Amino acid sequence: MTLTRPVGAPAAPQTFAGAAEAHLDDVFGYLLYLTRDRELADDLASSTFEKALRLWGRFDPRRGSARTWLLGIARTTALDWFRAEERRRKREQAAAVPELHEEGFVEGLSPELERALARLSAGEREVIVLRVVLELDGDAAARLLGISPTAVSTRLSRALKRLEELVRDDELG
Amino acid sequence: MSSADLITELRATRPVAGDALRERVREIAASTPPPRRAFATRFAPRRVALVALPAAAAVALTTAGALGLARSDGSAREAGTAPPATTAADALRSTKESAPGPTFGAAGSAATATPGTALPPSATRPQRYAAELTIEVADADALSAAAQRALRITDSLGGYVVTSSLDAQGEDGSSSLVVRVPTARVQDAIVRMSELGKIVGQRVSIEDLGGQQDVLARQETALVGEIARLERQLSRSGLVPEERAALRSRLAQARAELVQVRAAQAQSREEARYATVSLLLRTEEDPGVAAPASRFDRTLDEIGRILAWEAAALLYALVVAGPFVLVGAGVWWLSRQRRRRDDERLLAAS
Repeated sequence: MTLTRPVGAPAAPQTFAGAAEAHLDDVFGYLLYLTRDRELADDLASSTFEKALRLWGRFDPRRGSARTWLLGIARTTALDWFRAEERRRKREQAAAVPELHEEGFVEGLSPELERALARLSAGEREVIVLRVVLELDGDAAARLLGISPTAVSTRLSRALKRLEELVRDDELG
Repeated sequence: MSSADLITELRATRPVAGDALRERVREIAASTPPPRRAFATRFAPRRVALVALPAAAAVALTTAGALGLARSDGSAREAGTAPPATTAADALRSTKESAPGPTFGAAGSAATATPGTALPPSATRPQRYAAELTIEVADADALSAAAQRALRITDSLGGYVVTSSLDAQGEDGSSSLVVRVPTARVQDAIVRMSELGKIVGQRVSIEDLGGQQDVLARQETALVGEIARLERQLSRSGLVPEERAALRSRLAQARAELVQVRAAQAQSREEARYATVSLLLRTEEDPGVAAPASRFDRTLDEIGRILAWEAAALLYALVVAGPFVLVGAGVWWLSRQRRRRDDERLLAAS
């Protein structure tokens, strides 16, 4: 059995198991880009699907695809983790440097691109993973992020420009 | 490296979940069967509004229709019991034939005559009897004819006219008559005058004059006795001139008072003997208005009234609840905006 799905193929699974198999890589990739930590992305992906199973009764295919719905839950899960992490850091009075693996979080990426991605904010990586890596359309990304499609385009353009600059700086330096 | 190269590389290295995670997610998916559709989904606000609004409108219309139908039936029954034209005369006839004459005390009484309540004069007690009739006729010609006939009725019953006026302009006009007829025949007068047109108003007032006449009779007796006594004193000899002058003065005063009392007695008897009938004749203002509405029209009117009431109640509810809803929506919107800002800040800092 394979859990991979051709990019851009229409997917409207009617069962939770079908939806989970079809969109596991999307959810994992999204969380990986947000956290830059494979283990953490694994844990958050598990939490996402546990939560999604409980909420599956609320899923309405007419209001959006299962992929967008699952990514929305993944985003909430990740934000909850970020908040908890922020509270933990404040409690420990640590510097604002998260304890994340910054090297090799995506297999196959060139080192300079991976370093540049690591220097982006989670918000910038989020729009890149949604629009570029997962190839989510503008409307779906806008719904997921709670902003307008125009704002998504702007945010993506800025993030890509910054990424390009960071890669160039890395190559030069 | 250009943006295009970056995008190509990012897509080429799309992350793939590890086997351990796949197995875990499969276990999760297989662990619990998907629950039933949640209440919140089955009754989502948009779906509820889609059903609830037409349902509420249907209930409002049905209620208005049912109540309007029921009320129009009720108003039709009420209309059926309302005194139609000329029924007062018939009622007066039936009253005269069947109702016993009432006994009146010293206090007066007045009544608006409706079928079965017309008051006949007393056959045994002196009374001041006054009746007011308002009668509508078709046009100015009928008005003039009715006024003439009222005068003839008065004359035929042995009565007389106190005042009379006629004011006619084109097809409209009015005539006012005040006549006095023998009290014993006043009901005949009312019945016959009621037949001059459509009776739209009738009022009868009765005041007992027995007590007043008794007082006058006692005053007369006393004065007659005093006059006789004074005359006897004056006829005696041996009165000094001053005494005689005082007695003559008192005698003259008593005689003058006696004249007044007897005049009052005569007036009271006259009032008891003749009843006053005030007759207002007028042309109908708008014959079309009198036409009874059909049940369909009455139902539509009632439905309109009920719908207006429902709209007013809805408006009232909106006015009362509106501020609370607005405040609640504002708080919800602000908290959502704040949450989004927090999320953005969190992602930008991570």
